[in-house]
Amino acid sequence: MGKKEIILSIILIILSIVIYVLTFQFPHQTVALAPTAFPRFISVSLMILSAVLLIQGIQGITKYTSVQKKEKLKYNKALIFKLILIMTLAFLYTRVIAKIGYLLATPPFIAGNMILFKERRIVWIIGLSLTTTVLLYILFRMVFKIPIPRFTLF
Amino acid sequence: MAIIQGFLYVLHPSHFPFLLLGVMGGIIVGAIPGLTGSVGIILLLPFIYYLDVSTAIVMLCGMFCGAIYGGSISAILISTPGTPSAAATVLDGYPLAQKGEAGKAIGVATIASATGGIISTFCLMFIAPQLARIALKFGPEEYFALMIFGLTIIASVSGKSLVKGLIAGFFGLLIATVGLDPVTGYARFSFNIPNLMRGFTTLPVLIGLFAISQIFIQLEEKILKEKAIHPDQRITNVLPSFRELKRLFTIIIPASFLGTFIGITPGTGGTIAAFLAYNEAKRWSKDPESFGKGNIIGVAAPEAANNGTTGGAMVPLLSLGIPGDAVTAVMLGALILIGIRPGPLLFREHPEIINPIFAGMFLANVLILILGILSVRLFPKVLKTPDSILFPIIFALCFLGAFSLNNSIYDMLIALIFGIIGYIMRKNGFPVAPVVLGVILGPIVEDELGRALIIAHGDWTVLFKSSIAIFFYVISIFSLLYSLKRQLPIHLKTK
Repeated sequence: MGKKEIILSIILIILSIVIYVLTFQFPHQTVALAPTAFPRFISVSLMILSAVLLIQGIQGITKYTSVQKKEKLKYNKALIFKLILIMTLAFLYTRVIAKIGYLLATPPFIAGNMILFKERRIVWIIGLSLTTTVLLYILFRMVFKIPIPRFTLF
Repeated sequence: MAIIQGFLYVLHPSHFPFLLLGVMGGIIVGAIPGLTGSVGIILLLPFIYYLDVSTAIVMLCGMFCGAIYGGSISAILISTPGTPSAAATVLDGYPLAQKGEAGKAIGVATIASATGGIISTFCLMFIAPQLARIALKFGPEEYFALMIFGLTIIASVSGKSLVKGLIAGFFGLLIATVGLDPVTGYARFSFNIPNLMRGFTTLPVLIGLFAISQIFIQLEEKILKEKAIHPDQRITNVLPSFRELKRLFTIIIPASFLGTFIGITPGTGGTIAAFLAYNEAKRWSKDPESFGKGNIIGVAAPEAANNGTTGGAMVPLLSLGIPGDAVTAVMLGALILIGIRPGPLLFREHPEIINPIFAGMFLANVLILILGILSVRLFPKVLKTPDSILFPIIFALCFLGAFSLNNSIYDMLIALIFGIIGYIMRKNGFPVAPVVLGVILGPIVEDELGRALIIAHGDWTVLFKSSIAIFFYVISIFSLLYSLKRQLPIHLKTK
């Protein structure tokens, strides 16, 4: 418990207030259950729980030592770059696949992920990304007849 | 007899391979640390969506049972439980492997798991239809109360912090409110965006929260950890002697019943069952000091109990429509996705599905026994699969799965967004299982509440007029209080 809990609880409190305010746009209905009832109940509950988390966070912050802070910093620096890379790669994949289709977009996606997961053997990266793409294509498209994204650029 | 028809259905050459694939997939998924039964079920969904409903459920059952058993393999070989329910198996399984008795430990784990699963399937066959018969009398107000009870399971799957678990549960309920309101049809929180009007499809949400977030966590572990542990034990003498087996069965059978009973109780699950069985076995042992140092009973008892929960957890799931733990919550989502709403009506309206489930659960456990014994020497090889190959493939599979249900690129993006949300949640101590419970049970709760209020012309007191409903409210309060009591020592310890 500490700083992270305080930040998260503040975000959650703001989120619950926004949700509550947004429910005023919903039509009000007197018979049975109004569309506002459930979201309002959820937002109020979320607000109360976030307030409890905020208190717990404030109580815990005093125990957060400087050694722990240094460790966290080192841990974050090494990690954040690769995490952002993998998330960006995944986001680009979801954008590109709509245009160039599954067969062209997937090998670079798998290869990129393999590199991020510390695979260094080039032959393995190329071979496996291509083989997996083809095998998944056969499995989805031919065996189970499941649709997959197609080339739509032209 | 109807059950024989169920067996004939599952054993048909066009259905049996799916059960076999489900069990094999489940064992592999369970054995690999980082992949749980929930992830396995989610990855299976895109494929089974296009299968016949009964075959799809049978395959799901195979995956469910196989994954619980598979967790014991890595627990024994590399001291890392493949699934949380195999945590107790590590205590004696790994010391046995270190003594060079890995084969015997896996062999006993296989026999105990299969026995636990078979006993619990018999209990499922007898208890579930009776419970469903009672539940058939429920009206919307009783159903609403039952779903409230279902939601209290959030508290028990909250992990270390009850507050964080409840926040996660309410976050799940919030996600479920996006899209058309079940009572009035008004599009909530959609901001005139057509994709938001239909709400968030369950499958991409599940893929994101469980599978994609896990990939991010695995990447993190890959960067931070020095080197992965690989099994190097030789697997020999898999089967115990008849005399030893006879001695072990005096533990396996009661542990199986204990696991089944715990599985039936919503909010418990395989981990609790395994540790309870382990403690009981130690308590009744003539040589309790040998536990933790490689006592074979310390493998048999938890394995019989955790696989015993599989049939037990299916009892409330099938007959009442409420999940017992995180894995069965995902199972509930999976069943709803393939067009089956578990609950008492399932027994009346779709008896053709029920019997293949019973037969499938039974045969899945028989397959665990056969596959476990025959392929025991392959397990170390499965555990040697490098992360750099496994997780990129799973990542691609996740996106294809998210796309496949609605042929929607938007769903791929939703899976990624929920993957990031799931990762942030898990890194900050928020469990993701309560989100799933909220997403799945939320719409049902709101729907039943709406129906009850429409029938009662908006009179809210109708919710408290039925004695059955009051019974569920009372046990909901007890369930919450119990979770709170369980949390208190953890809270005091962290202070």
